[in-house]
Amino acid sequence: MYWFFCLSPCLQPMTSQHPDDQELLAAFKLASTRERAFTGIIKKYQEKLYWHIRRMVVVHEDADDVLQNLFIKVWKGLDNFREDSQLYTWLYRIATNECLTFLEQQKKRASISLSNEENGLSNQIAAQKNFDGKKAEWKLQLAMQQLPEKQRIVFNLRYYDEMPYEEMSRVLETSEGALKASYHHAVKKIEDYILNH
Amino acid sequence: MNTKQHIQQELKNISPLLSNLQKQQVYTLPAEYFEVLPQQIMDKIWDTEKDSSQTPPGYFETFAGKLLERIKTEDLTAANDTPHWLSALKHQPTYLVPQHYFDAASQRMVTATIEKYDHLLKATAPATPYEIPANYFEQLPAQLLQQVATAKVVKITTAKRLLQWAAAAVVVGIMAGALYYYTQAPAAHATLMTSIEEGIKMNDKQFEEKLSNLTDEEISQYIQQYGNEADVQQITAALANEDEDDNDGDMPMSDEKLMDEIMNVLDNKTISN
Repeated sequence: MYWFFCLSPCLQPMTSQHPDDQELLAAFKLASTRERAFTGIIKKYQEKLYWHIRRMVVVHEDADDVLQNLFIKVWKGLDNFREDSQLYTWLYRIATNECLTFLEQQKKRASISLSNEENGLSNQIAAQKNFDGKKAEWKLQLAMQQLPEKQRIVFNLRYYDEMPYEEMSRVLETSEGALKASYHHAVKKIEDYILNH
Repeated sequence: MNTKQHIQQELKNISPLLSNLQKQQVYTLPAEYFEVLPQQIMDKIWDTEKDSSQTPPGYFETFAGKLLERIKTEDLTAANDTPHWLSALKHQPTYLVPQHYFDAASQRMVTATIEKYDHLLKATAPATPYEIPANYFEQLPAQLLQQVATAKVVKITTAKRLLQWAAAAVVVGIMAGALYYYTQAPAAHATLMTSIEEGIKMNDKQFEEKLSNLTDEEISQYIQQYGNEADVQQITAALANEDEDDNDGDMPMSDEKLMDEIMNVLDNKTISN
């Protein structure tokens, strides 16, 4: 319970050394440390989850909305969280579902909007600050948007988050074999895109 | 080989091009975003908790008092904010409307609405499968009035009707009595037969004369002697119905006459009031 005392207002703020999930969850169960524990969970996972979301929805404001809603849902559902799975896995699963829901809603909005072209993710990438379509890193982002959503999630988790297939299987509730095949296809498609653009 | 190395090797096997690409974060985000985010999220959580959480202790007990206090305060503030001369002006009418304008306003609105949408109502009226002669409804009131005006009015006084019913009862009684005596007393048969034959031979005029010669005493005597309770009730009910029918039948009045009578009644009422 070392971290818990570190969170006390009279002591120094938390460092980059985050407490482990079990301690955070135990503190969350106590009314007196509930808020502080949850702040600890946010601080521990916010960056990883943000970038996971941002690469999916592209625009910062959208990523911010999805991330904040995600943590509000986590606050409401954490009491029912079963500790037989990892908190990290559970958070990624929620984040992935939130992204897919958001993108689905965005598609519906775009289908009734007159400005479909402007709402496309590729166009939103092109509208980003410092965008340079000739640079490989931006080409990679554009290539990723050509992938089907679930393939894009698999690529993100493997390429950027370096998630083992075993863990990814728990997040996406898909077999490891299917995930390996999906990743393979995604990489090949991205390579083709970069070579041809 | 650790996980990171394993993933890098896998990528190299699939796409050497991609494995040589340096991973860069191309997207930008606001400065200190991650520093302020936890507090923003907690604030949002408390907002949502407030929306759905229970009310503060004693909230409803003090709600009415607080509300009244606020209303008083706002009234006072409003009164203080309004200059005296402006408050006085509020109660003085600026615009005038014709007298009784609002009394008839609703009627005018209904009439105007009907006139406005009359063509729509007619256009959307459901078609009836039956046919009627052309201008049937236009001509119907005039035809009815004409029939009423030419109808024969027969006015019968109650006394005369009573007499008629009683006379009929007497005649029927005589006939029934004759039949009885004919079967029970053959000796009287000849006399009674004579009376019956005379009755049969009577024409309407003679019958009317006979009836008019009957006295009230004779009629009541007959009823007492031969009539039973059911007969009396039947006669009385028939007379009552006749009275009602006659009350209607006695008034084949034109609209003007009817209106005159109503106006007379109203005038008398007004005077008596």
